[in-house]
Amino acid sequence: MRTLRKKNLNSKDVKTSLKGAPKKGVPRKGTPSKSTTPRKRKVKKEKKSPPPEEDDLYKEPIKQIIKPPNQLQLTADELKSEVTRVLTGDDPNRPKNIVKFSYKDQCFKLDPPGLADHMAIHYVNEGYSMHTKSKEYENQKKIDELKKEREEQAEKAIMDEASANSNVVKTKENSKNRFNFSDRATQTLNNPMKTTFVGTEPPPVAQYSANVSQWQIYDSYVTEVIVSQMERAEGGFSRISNDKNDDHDNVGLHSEEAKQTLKIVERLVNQNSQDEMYQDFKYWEDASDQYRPGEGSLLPLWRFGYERTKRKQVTSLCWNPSNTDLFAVGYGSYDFLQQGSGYVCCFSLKNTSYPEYIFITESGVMSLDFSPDYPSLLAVGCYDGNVYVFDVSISSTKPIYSSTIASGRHNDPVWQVRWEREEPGKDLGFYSISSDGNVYNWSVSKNELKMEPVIQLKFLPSVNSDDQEMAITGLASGCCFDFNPKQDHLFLVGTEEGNIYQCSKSYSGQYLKNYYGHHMAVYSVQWNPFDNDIFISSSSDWTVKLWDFRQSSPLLSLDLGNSVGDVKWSPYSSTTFAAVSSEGKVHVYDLSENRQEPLCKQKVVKRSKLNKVSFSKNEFVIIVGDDKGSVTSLKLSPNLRGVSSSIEEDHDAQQLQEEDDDEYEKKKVDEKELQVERMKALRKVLGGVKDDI
Amino acid sequence: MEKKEVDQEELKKLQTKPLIKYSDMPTEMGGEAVEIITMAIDKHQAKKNYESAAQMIKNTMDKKFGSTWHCIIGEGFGFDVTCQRKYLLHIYYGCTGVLCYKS
Repeated sequence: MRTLRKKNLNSKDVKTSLKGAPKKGVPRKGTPSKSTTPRKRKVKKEKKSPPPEEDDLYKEPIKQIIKPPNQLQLTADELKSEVTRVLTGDDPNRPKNIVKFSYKDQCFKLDPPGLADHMAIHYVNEGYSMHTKSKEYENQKKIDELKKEREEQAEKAIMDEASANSNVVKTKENSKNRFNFSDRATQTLNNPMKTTFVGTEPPPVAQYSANVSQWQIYDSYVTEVIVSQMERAEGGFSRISNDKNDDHDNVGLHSEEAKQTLKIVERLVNQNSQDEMYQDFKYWEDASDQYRPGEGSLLPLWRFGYERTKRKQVTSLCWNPSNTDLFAVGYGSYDFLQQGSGYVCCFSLKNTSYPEYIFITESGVMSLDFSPDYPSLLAVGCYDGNVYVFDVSISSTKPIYSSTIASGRHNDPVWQVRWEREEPGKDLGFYSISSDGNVYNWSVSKNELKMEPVIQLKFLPSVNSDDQEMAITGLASGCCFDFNPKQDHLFLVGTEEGNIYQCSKSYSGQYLKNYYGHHMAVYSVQWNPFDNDIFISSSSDWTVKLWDFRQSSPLLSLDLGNSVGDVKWSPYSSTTFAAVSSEGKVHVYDLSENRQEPLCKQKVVKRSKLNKVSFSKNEFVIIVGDDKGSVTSLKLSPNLRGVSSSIEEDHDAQQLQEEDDDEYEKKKVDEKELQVERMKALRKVLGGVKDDI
Repeated sequence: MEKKEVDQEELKKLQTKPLIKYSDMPTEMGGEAVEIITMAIDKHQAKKNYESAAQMIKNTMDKKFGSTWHCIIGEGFGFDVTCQRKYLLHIYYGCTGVLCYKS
């Protein structure tokens, strides 16, 4: 059997395909076997389990699939699904939600980034190469040629000059070394740019539309005319009304409520800062008065002043009858040569730093009076003879009534004004007296001030003057007057010549009585508030005189040592009065205690004269005005009051026990009677006329 | 009866008295503006040269109160404008209407 020349085949293969398979590994005869496996072992061992060998170089690494525990578990379907990823060229740092204000639409709008916004430019270099066929190049060519020509010409010119002058070697222009020359350049680091901006809210806008045409203009003018005609038809007033405030002013900080609040805050701040002073004002009683009977002292409290009136003199003082903490001060000047404007300032004890109300008049203020029936009305008499009526409750600074040449006025300074009590059926009115010798009664009617002369003061020389002396006839110059509290028609007039006359409203022809005693001008005259037969007068002849109205010579004459500016009775004691002198002293007398010496003689101002004095009705306080424009308030010590401190207690009692009204009234009446008794007793002593029983 | 009364005085009124039809400005500014307007129109009244009057008004207002004022003078026109609040003035003066606003 011929053995087939076969290679080493797998035994399996041999079996299947051929018969008579040769034995394994037996070489065939005669043929040099190319296979180098004479006695070969089976090399193909990898198909079977490989034996452990040292070199792993040719082996594939053992693959082991390890799943991390937090790997997303997806189903097979999901694993198969395709996920697309798109790469865009957008700049991720660019914000996508910028909002800008659009003026066209007047609102804020979203401004998404455009195409160019995503481009970040890192380096720009503008080139200068031009296409040879472009217009630009042709232009540039021309310019270059021109330049070159010019240069050549310039060179030539220089050369000619040079050669003409001397032998100058032509210097070659420096040209760049083409061989060793190299450009050097550096690029600095360009910091990346950032754009920021801030937009403010634009101011609020309003829309307005209208028409303008000839008939519209005509119509509106016509309505204007009609309106103004109606206004005129209502009649003219002399009453000046307030200016209307702007709406703008009435809101917020300038509103009425704010003003009220500020007023209260101001008062409280002042009271807090002057707390001690207020405590003294209310409760301080000078204990040393117990040990010195017949002597008293004045405790200075506050000094009221206003900066614009510093150079003016205080010419009048008046307490308000209803608001007893309010008093009015009139500023002017007694000097004939130095006259300026006048001021009226109303101060309150609750706010001592600044006046509550301020009024300005053209001429100096000489006298003031509050009306007892209408406590907001203030009558003012001025140096130029005019009288005005102000209303402190309205916010205008102009007078509600003023005297004009048409209404009639005084020709000389108005030294005193006094309101009369209101009578039913009659207009409210006031009296004024002036140096021109006239006493006028002014009545305040609906829209004007009417003047009516009451009496002309004829000058009657005193009985003692010589007959050889030239009898001075004519009018006396009135300085002051006072109405009798009980019998309203009687009044006293003090004159500059020193005489005091008693007159009656109803009888203007003659004086009822003349009182001669003073040698110089009588500056103040006042009836005693309790005993209506007694009055007191003060004069610049240094004396204060006490009179009984039935006697034409004084009961008592007191010398104060210096010109007396003013004298006033105390409203709670019938025998106490205060006088001020021009050396700055306040003299307080109590005639039931001491008839020659004052209980208190105290200097209250330095280097100024005291002009006026006034008692407060509710408190034991007096105010004095001086010629330097300040008003000082003083508290009377217990000895000066002339009465036990029962007035204050009474007031407190009234506040607490309203039911005991009757009792309080009784107390008041008792007190009053006591005072009257006192005065009568005094009068007896002084030798006055006996009462008709 | 009223008409007759009105006639005489009316003429007086028509002469040189500005009448504020609508004002959104604070009073003092409004007063100044009215003065400026009356001055400008009076100055150029001869030739009824409203253009130069308006120019003058606009320039003065710009200088005084800040930029961008608009001034319209005419004898018959209608308008609908958007302006800054508190900066509008509409007056009649003589036979012309003047609108002046800031925007």
